[in-house]
Amino acid sequence: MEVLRLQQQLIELTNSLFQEGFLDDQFTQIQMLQDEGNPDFVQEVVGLFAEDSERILSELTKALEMEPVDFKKVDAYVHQFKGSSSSIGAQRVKAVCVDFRAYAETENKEGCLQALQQIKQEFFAVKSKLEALLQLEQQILAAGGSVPMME
Amino acid sequence: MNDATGESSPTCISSCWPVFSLGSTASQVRGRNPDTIFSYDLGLLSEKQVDVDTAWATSSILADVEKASMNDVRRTTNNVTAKEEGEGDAPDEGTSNCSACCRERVSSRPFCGVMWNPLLTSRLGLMGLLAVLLVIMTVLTWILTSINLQQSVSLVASKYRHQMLLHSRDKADAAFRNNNPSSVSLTTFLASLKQDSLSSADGMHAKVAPALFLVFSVLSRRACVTFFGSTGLLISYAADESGTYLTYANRSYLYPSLPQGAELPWMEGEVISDTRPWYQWYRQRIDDATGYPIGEALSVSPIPFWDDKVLKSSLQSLNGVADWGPSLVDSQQVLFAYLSPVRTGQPSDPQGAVSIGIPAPNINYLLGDFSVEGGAIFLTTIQGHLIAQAGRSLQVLKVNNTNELASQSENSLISGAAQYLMPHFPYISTLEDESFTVNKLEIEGIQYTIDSGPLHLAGATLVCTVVLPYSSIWGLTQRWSHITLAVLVALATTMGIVGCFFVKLLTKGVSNEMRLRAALIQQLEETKRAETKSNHKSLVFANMSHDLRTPLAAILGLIDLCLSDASEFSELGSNLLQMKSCATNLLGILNSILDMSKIEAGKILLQDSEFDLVSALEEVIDTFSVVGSKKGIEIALDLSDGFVEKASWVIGDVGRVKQIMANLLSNGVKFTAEGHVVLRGWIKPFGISCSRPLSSHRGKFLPWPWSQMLRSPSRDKELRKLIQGLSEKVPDDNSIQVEFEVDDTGRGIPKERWKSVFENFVQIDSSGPRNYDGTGLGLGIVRSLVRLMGGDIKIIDKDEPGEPGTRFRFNLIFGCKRKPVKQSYGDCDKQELRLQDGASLQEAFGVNANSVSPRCHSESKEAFGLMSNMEHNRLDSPPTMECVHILLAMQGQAGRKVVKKWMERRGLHVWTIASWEEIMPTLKRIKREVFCPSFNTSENFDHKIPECQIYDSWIDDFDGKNFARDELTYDTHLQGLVNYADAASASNLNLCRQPQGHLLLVIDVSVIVTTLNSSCSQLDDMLAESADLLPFRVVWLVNANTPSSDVQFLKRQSKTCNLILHKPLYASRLKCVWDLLQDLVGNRPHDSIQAEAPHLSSGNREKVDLSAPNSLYTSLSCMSTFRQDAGSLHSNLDTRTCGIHAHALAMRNLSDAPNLLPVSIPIGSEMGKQADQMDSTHPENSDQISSSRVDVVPHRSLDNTVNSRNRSQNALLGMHILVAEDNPILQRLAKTQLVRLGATVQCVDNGAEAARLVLEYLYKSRVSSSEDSDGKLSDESTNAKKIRPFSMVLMDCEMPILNGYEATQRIRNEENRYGIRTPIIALTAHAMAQDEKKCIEAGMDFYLTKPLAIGALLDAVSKIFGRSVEAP
Repeated sequence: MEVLRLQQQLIELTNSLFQEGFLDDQFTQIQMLQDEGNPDFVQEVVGLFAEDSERILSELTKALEMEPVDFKKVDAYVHQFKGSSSSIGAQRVKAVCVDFRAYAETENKEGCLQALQQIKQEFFAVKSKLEALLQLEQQILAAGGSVPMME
Repeated sequence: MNDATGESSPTCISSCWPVFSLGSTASQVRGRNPDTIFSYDLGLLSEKQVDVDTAWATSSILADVEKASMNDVRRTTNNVTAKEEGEGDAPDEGTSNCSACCRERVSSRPFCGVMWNPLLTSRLGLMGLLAVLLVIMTVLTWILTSINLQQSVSLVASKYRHQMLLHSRDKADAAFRNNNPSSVSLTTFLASLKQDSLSSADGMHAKVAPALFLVFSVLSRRACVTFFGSTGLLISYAADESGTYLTYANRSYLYPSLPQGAELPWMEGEVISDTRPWYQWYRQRIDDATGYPIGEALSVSPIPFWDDKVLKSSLQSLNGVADWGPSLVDSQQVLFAYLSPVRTGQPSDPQGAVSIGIPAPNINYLLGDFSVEGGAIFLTTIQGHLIAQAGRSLQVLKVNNTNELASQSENSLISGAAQYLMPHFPYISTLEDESFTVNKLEIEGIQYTIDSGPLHLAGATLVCTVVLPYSSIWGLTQRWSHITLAVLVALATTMGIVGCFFVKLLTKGVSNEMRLRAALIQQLEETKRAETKSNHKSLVFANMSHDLRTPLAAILGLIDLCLSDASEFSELGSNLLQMKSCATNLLGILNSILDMSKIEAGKILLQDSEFDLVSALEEVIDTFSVVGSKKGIEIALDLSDGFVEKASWVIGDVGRVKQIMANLLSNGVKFTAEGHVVLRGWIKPFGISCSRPLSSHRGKFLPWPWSQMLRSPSRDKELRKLIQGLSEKVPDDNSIQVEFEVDDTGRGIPKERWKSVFENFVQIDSSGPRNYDGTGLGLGIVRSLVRLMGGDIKIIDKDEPGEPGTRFRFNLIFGCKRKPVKQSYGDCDKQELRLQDGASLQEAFGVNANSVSPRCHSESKEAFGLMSNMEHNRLDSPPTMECVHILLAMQGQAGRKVVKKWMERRGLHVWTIASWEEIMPTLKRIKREVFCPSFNTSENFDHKIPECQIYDSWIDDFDGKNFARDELTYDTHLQGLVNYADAASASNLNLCRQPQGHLLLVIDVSVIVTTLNSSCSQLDDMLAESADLLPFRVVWLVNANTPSSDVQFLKRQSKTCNLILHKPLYASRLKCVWDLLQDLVGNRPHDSIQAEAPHLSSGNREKVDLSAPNSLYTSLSCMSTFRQDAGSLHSNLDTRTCGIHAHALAMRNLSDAPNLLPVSIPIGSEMGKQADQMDSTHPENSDQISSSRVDVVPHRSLDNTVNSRNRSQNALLGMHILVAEDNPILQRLAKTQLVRLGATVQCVDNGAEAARLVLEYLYKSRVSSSEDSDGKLSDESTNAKKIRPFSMVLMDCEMPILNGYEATQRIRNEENRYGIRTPIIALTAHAMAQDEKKCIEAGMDFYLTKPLAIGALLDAVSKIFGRSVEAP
């Protein structure tokens, strides 16, 4: 019963994540890459993503605090961030990244700072959601169930 | 003076010298800090001065006191002060010297001679202080002890002298005192008389004589009372020894005509008796009581007393005088007389004088009792005339010399004293009661004390003087005080010397320590500097590695290029080959040095990848077995622990592990001339010895929250840090510790060098001629790597002492992700988890887990830790194995042992022999064993019981030869029995056709001494007859030296050769043997062997090995249990023979096992006819597989996904893909995806690296292509593995260091020179057309946007490879 409940919960959570646009198909792809050979693949990738993103974010913050702002550098970071967020399927983050790049290209510092805030929000939101998701999966596995597959 | 040196380092120095509290030693802190020192010196100096001052002050105060109190002491005190001054000067000088020294030192270089100068200063200071203290002490002691004494003694002495003086004065006084008043009263009485009575003889007799007698009788007997008349008349009473006499003149006028007041009657120089015979004096004895004359009047000659100066002066004086006067009784006698004038009428005209005198002997008698030794007492007049003297050595004063001055006395003592005193007489006479004292007057070399005082008589003053030798009073005291002083001084001197010695000792020790400390600090600094230097060096070296290797690689490549151009067998060619080998050697050496420096610089990073430890070890062993067999050394791999089944898949750095093994093995091979080199490995549970954090142990056995609470974060962190410092890997639940041993039988390493061999650049034989090459870095690198992997390496003792060779033991810690560690102790959580896994597996697959995988079952059982290894193995091997006999004919004891052990663990009977001639007897014996064990029971054979352990040890003990000999002796005995047995078994066979046992022969080709052909036929003969009863298989072992003709021959043998394996026979090869055995035993009831055998024999197989998978395929339908084995076996074979990496995939799960079939297709293509066979079996298999797949697909996967997966599953199989991507996520993703698709992937994260790798492979592939096609199997496979060109590159466009475009351009430029084109697919997040164009322009073949989509990738791959196929 416990397992069923958890599975239900997981499905709901996943659905909501997709519906709210936090994640896209890329994430499904990643989930499908997880198998017996790579039992913790999703977790690993998410971990990598979080780590890398935090690094980039701190670099971005630093770069924007510098005077004068090196927009090329900022652009490069955002580009990286976009790459990693799109590879994990965090599409809202990715969307903000696109905006951010536009600001960076026009060398709009205000816009950049705004975008940075936004991007941070989005990133932490998606990070917490993913963590919740993974935890749920772990619980299910621990309870002896299997993780239901999303369409 | 302080600014003489600019250098100052006060802080560090002062912090280094905690001894500063020892005030004076501070001055020893040397040259570093002249300021401090100098101030200290000054301080010391002033302190000293203060000391000296106080000494001064005290001594002067003392001096004052003493001066006031007594004069005697003053001199000594003065002496003392003088002494002190002298001594006080000395330290003063010392200190001034010191300060001079300091000044000198400060102004000179601070480092030269710094050591002893301050030392000397402080020493002198201390010694001076000590001396001053000692002197003060001595003086005080002396003063306190002797001065008081002296004071009291001198007080007593002065009192004594005074008393003496008084006493003598009193005596004198007493002697004279009466004279005075009596003479005065007499004078007065006489003056009252009429003048006639004084001038006529009658009158005199009548009036004067009674008065005189009266006075005389009052006075003492000795006195003499006389009246001198001016007219020459005289009456005198005197006494001597004979009686009392009266002397008188009988005429009143000598000159009657002479008027009164005229001149005295006598002329000068007139003899009265001659000139005036009528003038007579008479002496008449009188009664001394009454005064009446009792004797006759005797006439005596008169004495002209008028001339007497004394009488004259008395007549002229007013009151009279006291002086020596003439004695009338005896002219020889001198009287001390008191004379007073008698004036009756006019005072100016005295009528005469009254004299009362005391004879000199009487006066002397008064003083005569003075009894001081060497002393004297004397009386003088004021004028210095000696009156009386007394003393033991003095005679009575001669009277005739009345006018003698005391200063001219014969007695030197008196004369000396008088001379001294003469000038003082007037002063002395004025003194009243006190005395005039002179101390230490030296007379004739002896010191005397003189006291002198006045003696007042009526009208006259005398001086009484007491002379005492100084020593008579002071002698003893002085001597004692001198002794005391001497003792004190001696003591003080001794103490001073001892003190100085101690000071020296102390300062020496302290200074030594200082110096040592300073040296230590300096040393530490030096060491630190050296370490930093060495670190820098290592760092530079590590950084240089790339720069060093690249040109060498280029050189190698160029040599290869030249080689391809050079004609074969030409000199140029051979030279180039030599160059190449040299360069390769150089590269090897360089690599090891660089490795070392990289490790030292801490730059080496272990790659964590999952790999098959066993196969890695086997590869290494393979490599070295070739070398070993050339040298005649046996190389064996002993994994008796059997972790093949347990955890051969570990996470670690496979390259480094191999490097470690290779280094150790090559070492072993290098130093072993004969014998064997064995690599052993077993899993070692983490024990206490392992640096495992306590908390993780604790946490493991407690429920989660408790363990969390118990684990204090900070402590845990600390521990973790500590452990991380100790070893790179923290052993946790996902770790596995494997212990290895490399054991050789070489010449060994002397025990004292066991530790040093691991140092870098150390070779055991460094002194002697270099028989062995190498840099001496090997073991150092090994140790570093082992430590990096969390283990340690050491050399341990061999089992038996004296056994030749060396045994290295080391442990490595690997991660293991998929298969949890199986440890002998229970790890409950995990086991449960595993069980759940099993359960979920069961659930998911809808199959009975047991039926799916018996091994899984057994494992889970084992995982409980309830079963021992043995039980496990029993379970693993079917009971039928009991009667399987293995005949192991192998050369090389070590390898044989390993194999035997392995077999034993599986419950097989193993017979080991080492030579061919033993084979036949042993076979006979086996037959006997198999067919008629009951016969043997009657004999005393130990091996009758099929207990393999005992059995084998028995054999082992007796060894092959012995066994053979035994065999011969028993042979005759048993012959009959055997024949009987054969018959019986034959009949038995006929009855039930049940095989009695199974026989597997494992024969090493090298044991065959005759031709292979004859041996085979011999074998055939031997075995064929009982083949039905005793089915057999023969496995041949070949090695690299086996001629290919032999191998070919063996391949042609169907009966006597079922499998050919390369030596060494390690686990995965043994697996093949095991499978063959399974085949032999298990397949028999199904007769599949029978069906298979002709096929095998008729088939034109290239490789005998492939029979195994073949037979498995056929038996797949009926034996589901074999699937796993098939998979693993297959994969092993793949690895061995084809070098395809897909085995990892194949190993992973059961459901994937069927997918191996497509994998084997490319292999099959080599197999000629066999391929058809495979193809024909494939469809039915795949049918079966797809049907089973429907059952087992987990519901996570969707059908279409599965399909697409199926489709693309191996789309990239065999490809080696380079992924250049800086984003770790994308890198990981791409890698996973590609591995999924069957490719092998290498990742780099910048363009430069990518370009380098591609080009490196390019060079190497050129090399390999130029020299390949030399038919050896293993070489080929290793070559293929090493030099593997990338099939494709996935290139991110934006990367650090070198971006994708530039990297591509670089690659293309190089490739153009070789006419090669590696496909490069751009990966970019720029989704714009211009980017695509840019990519194509850069030389990339295709363009994909991120994130990587499989479909797009596959499309691209197909397009590229389609094109590239077309292109040539």
